[in-house]
Amino acid sequence: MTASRDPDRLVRAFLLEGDEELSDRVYDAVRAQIEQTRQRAVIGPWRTPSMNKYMTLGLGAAAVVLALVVGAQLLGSSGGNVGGPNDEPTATAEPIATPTAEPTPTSTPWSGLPAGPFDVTGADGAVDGGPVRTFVDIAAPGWTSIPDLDYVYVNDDGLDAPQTVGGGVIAWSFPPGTEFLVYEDPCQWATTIPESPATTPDEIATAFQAQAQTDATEPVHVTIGGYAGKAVTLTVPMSYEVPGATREEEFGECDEDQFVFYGIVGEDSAVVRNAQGPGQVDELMILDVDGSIVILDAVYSPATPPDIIDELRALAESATFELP
Amino acid sequence: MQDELVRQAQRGDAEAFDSLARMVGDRCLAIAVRILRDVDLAEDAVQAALITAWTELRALRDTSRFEPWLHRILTNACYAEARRRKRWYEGPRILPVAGAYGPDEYLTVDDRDLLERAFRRLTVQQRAILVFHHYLGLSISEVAARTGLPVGTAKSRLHYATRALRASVDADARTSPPSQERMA
Repeated sequence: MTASRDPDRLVRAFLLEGDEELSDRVYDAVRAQIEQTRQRAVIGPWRTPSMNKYMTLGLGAAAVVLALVVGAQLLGSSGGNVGGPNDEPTATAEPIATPTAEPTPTSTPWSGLPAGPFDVTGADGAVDGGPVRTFVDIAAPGWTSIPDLDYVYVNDDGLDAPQTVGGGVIAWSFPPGTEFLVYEDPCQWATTIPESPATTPDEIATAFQAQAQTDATEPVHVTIGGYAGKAVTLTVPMSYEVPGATREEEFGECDEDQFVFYGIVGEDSAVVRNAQGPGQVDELMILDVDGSIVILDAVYSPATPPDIIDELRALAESATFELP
Repeated sequence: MQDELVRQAQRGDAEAFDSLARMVGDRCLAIAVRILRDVDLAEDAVQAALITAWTELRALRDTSRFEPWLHRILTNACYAEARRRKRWYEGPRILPVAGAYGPDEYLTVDDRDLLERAFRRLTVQQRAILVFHHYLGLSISEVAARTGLPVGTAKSRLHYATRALRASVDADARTSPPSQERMA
């Protein structure tokens, strides 16, 4: 392998190899079985909304930046977006054609975000849609970001809570007047939608305090970057832990296999915040920034070491805001 | 035409469903093989998915979304097959590759070996994300729909799957001697 291979093209070329044909034996077996199987009747209304419509933020563990040496030669490095695509390809029903693009040179190995102010909300395509940009102060090496998710993280081991030893900070901003649905029970979220949405930091924090299962702390006053708000900490119960299971299996008894703290429902899409695993802790700082709501979410797991948690808090508290 | 077959099948027409299955079967197998890395398991997953699709077909409201809907069922069937394999068979398996892979000028034998090993080390969920995104060329929101994940979760999983693939290839490349082809 040479050092100038297009990583996406290599993966596509690898996946495009092969030409499968389903054997008649399988079709015959299906036919024989459906002849003896009744279709399930559908009774009652169609279930809506579907989670598929939801722009749900499900952040995994935070990350340690890999020093890509030989791996970078094969799969390349893409600057600030470590491994994640910056844009979404056009949907197509057909398998993509054999790649034709010329190989592109790889960039220098990614070594993490530089020290100093970093615009967490710098990328287009973030899920929140708010007007406020949030800058945090990167004080130590090891941080990286997922720009599309307005997320910076450190010490990632690629695992979900409660195994991960990493953590991260989310910075979402929402336009003035946004209505937050803080579900009364994050596990039964689809059926415990509050009658009245919350719109201010006080209302949102109070709703979290009343939320079942998350053992929310009492909201306290907080000022970040010169803007006031409320801080509240949520903890996902460890009782959901199933060793070796996937996140969806652990939350299998919950609506749509997801444990969802809150949602903002639009006309045809919604943003919701879901948990990544049992024991996850979310230290929320809910701020009123000139009428917009900014939620800083320092998230970590029971296995995250105290020094990392201190780093997360310091990073969240370093936030400054820029208005349009 | 597919829509009409779906509607007929929803009314209990097994013949129509059989035609429908034959329209989509090869692609389902292609997806399942890439997720499971095993043709036999993939065939089992496709068979299970098609039977589930028949049973649940009346719950499909938008008949034009039959294939995405089927792919979500197929993804779950792949996960179930992977779990079953874990239970019954922990050793290495040999992929039936003879005749299945054509030459690709861009991939060397070394690339293919490294990627195959790296892909197998990923979780089945990570493989599914990569297959839908890179093989079918779907947007993240479509990937989310077909894997039953929230969009944000699909985004972060793609990110971590790609990173895990890199790390695995990196580790292998450090320890594997180059093949004759590579040296030539």
